[in-house]
Amino acid sequence: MIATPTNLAMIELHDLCRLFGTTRAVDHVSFSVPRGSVFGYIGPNGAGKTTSMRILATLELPTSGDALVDGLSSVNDPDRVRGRLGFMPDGFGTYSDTNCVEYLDFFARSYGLVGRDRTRRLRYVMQFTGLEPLAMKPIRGLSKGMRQRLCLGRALIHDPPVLVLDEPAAGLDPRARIELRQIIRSLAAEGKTILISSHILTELAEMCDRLGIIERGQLLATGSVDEIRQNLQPDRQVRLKVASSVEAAVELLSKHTSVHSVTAIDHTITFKLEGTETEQIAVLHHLCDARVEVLEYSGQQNSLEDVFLEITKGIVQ
Amino acid sequence: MSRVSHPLLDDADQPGWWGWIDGKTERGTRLLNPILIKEARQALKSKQFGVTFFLLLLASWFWMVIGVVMASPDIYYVPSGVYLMTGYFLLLSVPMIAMVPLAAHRSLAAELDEGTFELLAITKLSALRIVTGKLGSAVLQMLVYFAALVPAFGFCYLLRGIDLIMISLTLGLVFMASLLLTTFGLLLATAVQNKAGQIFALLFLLFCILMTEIFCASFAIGVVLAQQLTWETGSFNFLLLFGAVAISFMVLFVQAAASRIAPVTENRSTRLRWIMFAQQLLWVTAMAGAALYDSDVDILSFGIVMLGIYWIVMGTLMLGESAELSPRVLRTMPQTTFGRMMLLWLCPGPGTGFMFAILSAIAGCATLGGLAFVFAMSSNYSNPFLTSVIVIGYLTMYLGATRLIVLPLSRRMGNSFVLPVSVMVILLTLGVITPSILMAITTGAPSSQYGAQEFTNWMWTISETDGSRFAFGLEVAAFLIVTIGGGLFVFNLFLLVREFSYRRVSIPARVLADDQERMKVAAAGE
Repeated sequence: MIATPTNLAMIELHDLCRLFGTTRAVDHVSFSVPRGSVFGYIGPNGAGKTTSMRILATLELPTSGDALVDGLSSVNDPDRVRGRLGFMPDGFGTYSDTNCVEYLDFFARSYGLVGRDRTRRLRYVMQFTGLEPLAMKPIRGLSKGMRQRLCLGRALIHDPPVLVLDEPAAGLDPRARIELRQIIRSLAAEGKTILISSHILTELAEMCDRLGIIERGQLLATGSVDEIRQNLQPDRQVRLKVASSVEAAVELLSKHTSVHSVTAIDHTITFKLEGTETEQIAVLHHLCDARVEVLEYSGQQNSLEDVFLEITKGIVQ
Repeated sequence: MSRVSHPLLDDADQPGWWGWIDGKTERGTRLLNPILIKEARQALKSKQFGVTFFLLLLASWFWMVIGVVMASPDIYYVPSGVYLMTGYFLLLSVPMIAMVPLAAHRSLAAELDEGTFELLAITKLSALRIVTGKLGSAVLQMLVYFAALVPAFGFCYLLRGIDLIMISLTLGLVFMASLLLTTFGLLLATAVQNKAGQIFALLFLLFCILMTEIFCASFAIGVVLAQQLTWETGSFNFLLLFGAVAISFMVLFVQAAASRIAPVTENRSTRLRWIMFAQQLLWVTAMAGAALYDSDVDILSFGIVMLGIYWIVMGTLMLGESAELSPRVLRTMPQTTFGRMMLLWLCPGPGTGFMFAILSAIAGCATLGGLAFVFAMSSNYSNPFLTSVIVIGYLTMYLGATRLIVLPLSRRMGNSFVLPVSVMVILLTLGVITPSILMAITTGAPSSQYGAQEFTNWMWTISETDGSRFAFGLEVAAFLIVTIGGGLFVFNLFLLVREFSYRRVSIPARVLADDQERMKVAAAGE
């Protein structure tokens, strides 16, 4: 592995743009991923995820802007970037009459690995991805999950510090997804910087340190799951169940400055609250002080899917 | 879980005699192209290769029996080697000239088609290594096919009537033809990426294979095996020149295929231009040598016309290059004023390509035309000096006009070789038919006699340089061609300013730091 200065962000996108005719596939996208972290890239189909990942992987040129891996431009110094980056594309072709170990050996040779370094690396990757029992199996006979593992193994074969994984969980069964999630977490624990895109939003929330939500080529939000929720949905949905005096409770809540959208159905009142958990506790105190008989009081946070649906409009370019 | 045993997962350098051999061969494979190793593994497992090989073996045994039976009883006292060799040549030419180039073409086209090329593109393999790997694999297959027939060639030699030189020449011819077609097939695989284009490319390759098969068969059977080649007639010199030109085109095709698949951030032109320069040097030397050796001035005229055709094709293709160069390419360009003056025309860009084609053609044509002038070589049938002037004039005229048309169009349609080639074909066609149409409109019938008004008709004008039919209007036409060509050349020069302007590009600090890191790692390794 090539030594890298630790003070650099391992992945940086600077004002990246990519036009296809009049379509803006990537529209002034900027973000950075610190060393050793997992960055989830979420967006609907045609949002620009794959295009920006392909630019980062030196397979496509941006119309403007730059994509850096370990401080090196994938536009101007692609050969230096390639040694530091493992790319797993959404769909990948395989060779006929080739088995798993021959496939990985070929790519190990293509990355310049020789002698003991190559065999050691091959053994490690076969074991890490769980492909050892399938070493002699022809690639054409592999299941979708095993093919994904093989592709991940190919991306890992030269021990790159950065991994770019485009929809690695697409088409996998639940068990294979869980195993893939464990693999990615263990790679992050090894210090790899990972950029991963997926439609399985809950899984991304579990395995990623930070997320970026992209639609129509524009980055709509970045940050941790909680930060995104906080920034994009400052209101908390609160549910209150009272034993009696519903009207009094509604009136009291309506007068509260941080509360709005109060609705009551039977003895259940729902309202939106601006602010943090402290605000939520303050409102409960206020209700109790006014002798409102509270049976249940709970704050509901939107799931990542809800936040995603809230932010994106589902417009396809 | 117990470890899976596989030769590729075991370290070389195991103890013992076999371990020592394993270690040495492992070190040997480090020198090999990974594509060659992969393709060899695939080929040895593929049904197509296995079936072809065994069919070839079977056919050769079959022909051995049939040939001997048919040649009996004469075979006991009449030399029959040539007779049997003819059959073996035809047998070998099928896999060599048809199967190997097609397999190489499909192999590279499939990489581009099925998305595996992208996985290769992000490894350390350069585009040139990918193409040469495919070529190496094709050569390996050729050698295996040769090996299948080696006993048969030995049998032919023992039957007498054919010497080792003739056998070598026959095999060399098949090998060269196969190699040339393979490199061309690789280039065709990269030329078009859409389905319709790929089908057209495949059909074109099949046509070329058929033509080569016919040419090779008639040459091998009618000339080589008929023992028509002699040192006295200079036919070996012709073969030598033919071989040298074929090799130069193989190198050109391989480099062009690599340039086609290389990323746009790479310098995809300079090597190609050096190869073109070497080809011109080879051609001019051969033509000058042949003309002086035979005191035949017609060879010079032929050489000039061929140079004109070569540069109009290459110049047109170079007009499709992108003028936008990545900072990485700019960093590798000559940085001093003197360096730029001398070497910029070898750097990528349509403007530099235009200049390179014109200046090279002028140098080549002037050398051949000047040779006739200096040595006072003359003929009733050609005038090399006038031919060279007219060819250079046409080159500047048509290439200059194409560039002026392509320049604004490429800004809208993007850079591609299709645009300049289309424009050039239209211009050349219009150049031929327009004078006749104008004459037909004004006089009611196209002119049957050459006149100055036919100056755009390159086909007629060049044929008029034939001294036996010297036409009155030719000098006027030549003057018009050179004047218009010169004018277009000067006009194009003004448009080249941007490509020629001085741009010093510094190396980013991170790249320098990376170089230092690599040097440290290398020093630590030593």
